[in-house]
Amino acid sequence: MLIDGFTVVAQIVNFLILIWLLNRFLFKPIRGAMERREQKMADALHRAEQAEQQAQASSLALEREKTAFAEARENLMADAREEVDQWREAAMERTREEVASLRQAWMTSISRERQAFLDRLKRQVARQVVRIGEKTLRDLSDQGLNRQVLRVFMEKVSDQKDALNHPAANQEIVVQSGIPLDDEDDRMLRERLSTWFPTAAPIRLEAHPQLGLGIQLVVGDRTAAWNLLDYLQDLEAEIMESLFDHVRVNS
Amino acid sequence: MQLTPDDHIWWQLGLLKVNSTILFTWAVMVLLSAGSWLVGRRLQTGARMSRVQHVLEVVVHVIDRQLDEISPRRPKGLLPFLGTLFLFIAVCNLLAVVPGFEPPTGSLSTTAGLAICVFLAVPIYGIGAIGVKRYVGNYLQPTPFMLPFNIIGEFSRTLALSVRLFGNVMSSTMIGAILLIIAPLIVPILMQLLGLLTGMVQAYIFAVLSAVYISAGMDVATTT
Repeated sequence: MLIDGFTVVAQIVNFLILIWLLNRFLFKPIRGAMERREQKMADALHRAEQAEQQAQASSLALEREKTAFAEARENLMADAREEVDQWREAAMERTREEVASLRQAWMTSISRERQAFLDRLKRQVARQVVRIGEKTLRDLSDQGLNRQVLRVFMEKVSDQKDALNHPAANQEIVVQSGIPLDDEDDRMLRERLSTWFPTAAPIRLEAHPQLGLGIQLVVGDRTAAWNLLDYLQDLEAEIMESLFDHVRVNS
Repeated sequence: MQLTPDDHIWWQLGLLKVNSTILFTWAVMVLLSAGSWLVGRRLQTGARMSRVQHVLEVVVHVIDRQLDEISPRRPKGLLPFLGTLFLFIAVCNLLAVVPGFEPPTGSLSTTAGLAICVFLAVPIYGIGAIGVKRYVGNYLQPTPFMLPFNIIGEFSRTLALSVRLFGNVMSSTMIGAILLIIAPLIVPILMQLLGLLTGMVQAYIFAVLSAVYISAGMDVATTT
């Protein structure tokens, strides 16, 4: 007999037991391991995708930050350039003003110096003219001119004799002369003074070359004099006044 | 000459007996269970794993994929059933090359038992998937007159399933034994190698046909 009933039943039971055993020790663990591996791979892929997305997001963020930084730098550079331009303009303006001020001061100084130089020059010219005139008159003076000077002096003293008479009382009269007086001039001078100032003490004549072409009378604290130098000084003063009046009108 | 290992009885007490078929079935069960337990203790879920685990994962994955192709809407418990069926038959046939080993699949009792399991699994999975009424109605298709023929078809295909496997394995064993007498050199080795190939093919055919029968029990019902 090829088939045995007990063996058939036993093999069915054995097969069912084997199904349970293999399901318990083979299929479940293997499938579980495979599913866990697939889950791990899926998780790893998911994490990789997330990491890639994060990397892309970070890349985009970095790109945006880079662009923002570039814009900020551009703005800062533009502001800095504008500030530098403004500062340069202001500095140039200040420098121009300083230069103009310095130039103005320099021009004023130059003008003042030039004016001063011109003033000195005019003054020296005037003085030199006066001195030349004085020297010319002194060089050309002679007895006639001296006598004429003495005459003019006498007239001046005569005009002031009333004013001088009172201080001359009991006072010494001193006549200082810058011109040489001869005996006749001396005698005439003494006579006139004695006549005009009878109460005066003796008359003393002194040579006084510093007076130049001039002569003066000193009674106490009073003086009467004629001197070419006074005229020349008046002339110089008038010349100076006219010169500087001309300068003031021009400036 | 023994045509079946059932005749080789190792121990008997009344109706209870242990013959070569049962004994070597236990051996295969121990081998499969122990091997699975040893590998399952240190399963790796990372990219690195042992070669044995890799082989087992490939086997399970291939079986799973084949079942997906045959029955896309298969129930969850079908893989342990058909996977165990394939592995048991394949290991029994592979071990036929071991001297002294008598493959249990060379016993008509074993193949009949497996065929009966498939015969019972078809209505169990079919009813579980589509219900009793629709499953029973499947036998009335295309007309109620086909009911006897459909029932006969169920029995005949179960019989064919068991006899096909038994015939192939038994004949392969017998041919090997006969060739060993006629031409003891080289030829039996070649025939043993051929027997390995036919053994794997028979395991595949048995498992695939079982999957087709179970899948057909669900698919036909869902289309009516």
